[in-house]
Amino acid sequence: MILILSRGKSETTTEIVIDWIMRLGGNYIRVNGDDISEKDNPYGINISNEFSKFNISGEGIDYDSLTSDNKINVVWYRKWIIPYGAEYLKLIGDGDLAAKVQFHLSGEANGASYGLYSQFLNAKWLDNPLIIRSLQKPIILKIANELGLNVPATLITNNIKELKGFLKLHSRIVTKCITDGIFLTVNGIDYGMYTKEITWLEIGELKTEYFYPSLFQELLDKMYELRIFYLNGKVYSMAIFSQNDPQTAIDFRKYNLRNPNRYVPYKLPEEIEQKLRLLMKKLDLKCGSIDIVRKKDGAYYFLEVNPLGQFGMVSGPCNYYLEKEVAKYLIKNDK
Amino acid sequence: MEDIVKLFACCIPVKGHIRSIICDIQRMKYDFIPNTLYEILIIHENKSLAYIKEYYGNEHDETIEQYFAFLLESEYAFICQEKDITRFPKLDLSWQSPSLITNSIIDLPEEQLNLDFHGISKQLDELGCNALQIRCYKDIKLENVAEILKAFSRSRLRHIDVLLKFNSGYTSDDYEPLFADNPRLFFLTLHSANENTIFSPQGTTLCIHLTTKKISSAADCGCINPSYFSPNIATFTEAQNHNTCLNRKISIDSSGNIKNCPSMNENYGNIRNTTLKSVAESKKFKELWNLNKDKVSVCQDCEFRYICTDCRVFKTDDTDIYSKPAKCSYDPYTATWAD
Ligand code: SF4
Repeated sequence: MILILSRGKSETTTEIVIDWIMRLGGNYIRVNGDDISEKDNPYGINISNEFSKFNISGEGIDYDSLTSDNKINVVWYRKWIIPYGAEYLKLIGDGDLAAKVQFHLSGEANGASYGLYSQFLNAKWLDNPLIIRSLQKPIILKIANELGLNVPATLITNNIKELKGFLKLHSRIVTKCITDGIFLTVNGIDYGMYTKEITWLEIGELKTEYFYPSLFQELLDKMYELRIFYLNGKVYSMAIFSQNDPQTAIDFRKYNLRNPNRYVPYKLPEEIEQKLRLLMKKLDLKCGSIDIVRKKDGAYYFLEVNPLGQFGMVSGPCNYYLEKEVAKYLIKNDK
Repeated sequence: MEDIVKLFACCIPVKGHIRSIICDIQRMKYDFIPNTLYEILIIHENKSLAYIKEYYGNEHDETIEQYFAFLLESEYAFICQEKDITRFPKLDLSWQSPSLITNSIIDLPEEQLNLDFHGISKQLDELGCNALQIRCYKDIKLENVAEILKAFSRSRLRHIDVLLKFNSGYTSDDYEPLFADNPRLFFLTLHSANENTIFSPQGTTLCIHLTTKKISSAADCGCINPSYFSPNIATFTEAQNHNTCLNRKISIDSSGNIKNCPSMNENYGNIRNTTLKSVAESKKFKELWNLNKDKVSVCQDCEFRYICTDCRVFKTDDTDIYSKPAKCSYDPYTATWAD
C-alpha cells in the first residue's frame, strides 16, 4: 500500500498523481494534515512495550480508516503539515505571551507528525522528512560546490562592514531567505518573500552597524534560469526566460500574469546532469526541484534543491507528465 | 559561431491553405503569418539569418528581416547561439490522460428530476472524470439545482459548469450560495436572458455569464467561431490525434440515454439500466474519439485545426462522417468567414 501524506486544499498535483495511481492499478491511502487537526477525526499514535500502533478515522476524510496494520511499503511525503488549532490560541489571548506560545504550539504539532512517521520507519520514503529536515541551504551549497558545480558567491553575515566588502567585490548582490520563504496573509493582504537586490542605497539607509543574520549572494548575470525536477536518477529540465521582463528579472516567482515568462523544455549538458545525480545521491534524496542559473557567458550556476518543490510548474509547460512518473515510481516501490 | 532566431517550443506554426498561424500555446493566443514564413520556419529551422537570405538569392532580405523582427518583438522567438540549439528540444506533443472519461455532459430531464445523481457521481468517479457540464433548457428551481450539485460534492470532479435558463425571479444573490456550497462550480451560464454580460460574484474568480441567446435544446450546440478557439497546450496536444469535442466524453441526454454527445442519435442504453463504465469500455462508443481534424475534409487544410473544437453531429454532409462541421462559416481556401 502507498501512503500519501498531503494536505487538504488546492493540491491539484497530488490529485493528478492519484488519478495515475488508480489508472495504473496501484493502491493508496491519502492522509491530509488538515484532517488530523480536525476535532471530528480522532487519531492515536501508540508507542509502548506491548504494541506500536497508529490509527485515524473520522468523517470527511477520503479513506475509512488508516492503522499501521495496513501494510505500507512506500510513503509519499508531500506538502504535509499539521496546522495548530487557532481556537486553542484564543484561550491565551493576544500579545507577547500568545505569540511565544504560538511558536511553541506549532513545534508541538510538528512533533505529533513525528509520532506518525515513527509508525512507518521501515517503509521507503519519497522523501524521508528526517533527511529533508537536515538539508539547509548553506550545507547544500557547500556539498554542491565540492562536487564541482559552480555556486554563486554567498555571504551570511550580521554586519555592515562585511556586507560592504561583499558588494564592492561583486558589484551587484541580492538577499534572500536562508531557510524557505513563507507566504503570509495579514488583514486580507498577501505578503510573499522574494529575492531582492541590495544596493549602496539600501545599505546607506541602515541605521546601525549590525543587523539580523542574513544571506547575500552575488547577482548572476543570467541568460536564463533552469528549473529541474529530479526523480530517481532522471533529470527533467525547463528553461525560464525572465530576463526580458524587469518585473521578474531578479525573482521569476513575481509572476507577470499579462505576459508570463517563457517556459520551455531544456536539455542540460550530460556533465551537469551527472553532477546533479551525484549531488542528489549524496543528499540521500530520491526527488527534488533544483534551481540553476545559466550565465550570459554560458556557465551553469547551481542555486538550490528543494526536496518538496512543486513539479506541476515544470510538468505542465513541458508536457513531461511528471505526475505519471511519480505514480509509476510509487507503484514500483510498493512491495 | 552564428546566432539563430529560434522559436520558443511553445510557439508552434500551423500551415493552412493560404496562410498560417503561430499558436502560442503558453500565452494562449495565435497570430497570422504568411505561408512563406511558415516555410522558412520549418524548412530552414535552426539556420542563420545570413544562410536564409542567401537561400532566397538575397532578393528578399528586407522581408526576411521584417519577419524575424516580428517574431522577436512578439516574443515568439529568441536569439540562440548555434552551439546551444540542442539544448532546446521540441515540445513533446503526445497527449495522455489517466482517465478513461475526462468530461461529461448531463442534460436535465424536462419533467421529473428523479435521476439517481449520487449513483451517477459514483460512476463518473470510477471513470476518473474531472469535468462536468450540467444543462437545463427549461425553467428549473434553484433549490433543485443545488440538490443536484450536492450529489457531486464529494466526487473527483475538479470543474463543474452549469447552463440554466435565465429566470427574472432570481437575483445574483440567489445564485451566490450555489458557488459557496460548490467550490468546483466555476462557470454558470444563463441563457435566454435580457442582456449579455459576465460578472463575478463578490470576492471570487468565478463567473456568471448572461446571454440573450436562446438555447432551447441540444440542437443548439456545435457552433464554431473564433471565440471558441482554445490555443492552449491541452487542446493543441489532444487535437494531434483526437477529436477535440468527443474524445473521452460521455453524455446523458434529457431522456436518460447514454451517448457520446446529447445531440447524437446513437444511444448506448439508458442510465436507469446501463452503467457508464460498460458503455465507455465498448469499442463502438470510442470510434469517434480518434477522428481528428487531419481526417476531416476542409478542416485538414485549415490553419485553426489544432485549436478548434469540432462537431460530428451537425455536418455539411449528414452521410459523410468526415465532412466539415455545418455550423462553421470559415473557408480556409479563401481565408474568409462567411458571417
Ligand atoms: S474549417 Fe474546420 S478547423 Fe477550420 S475553423 Fe472551421 S471547423 Fe475549425
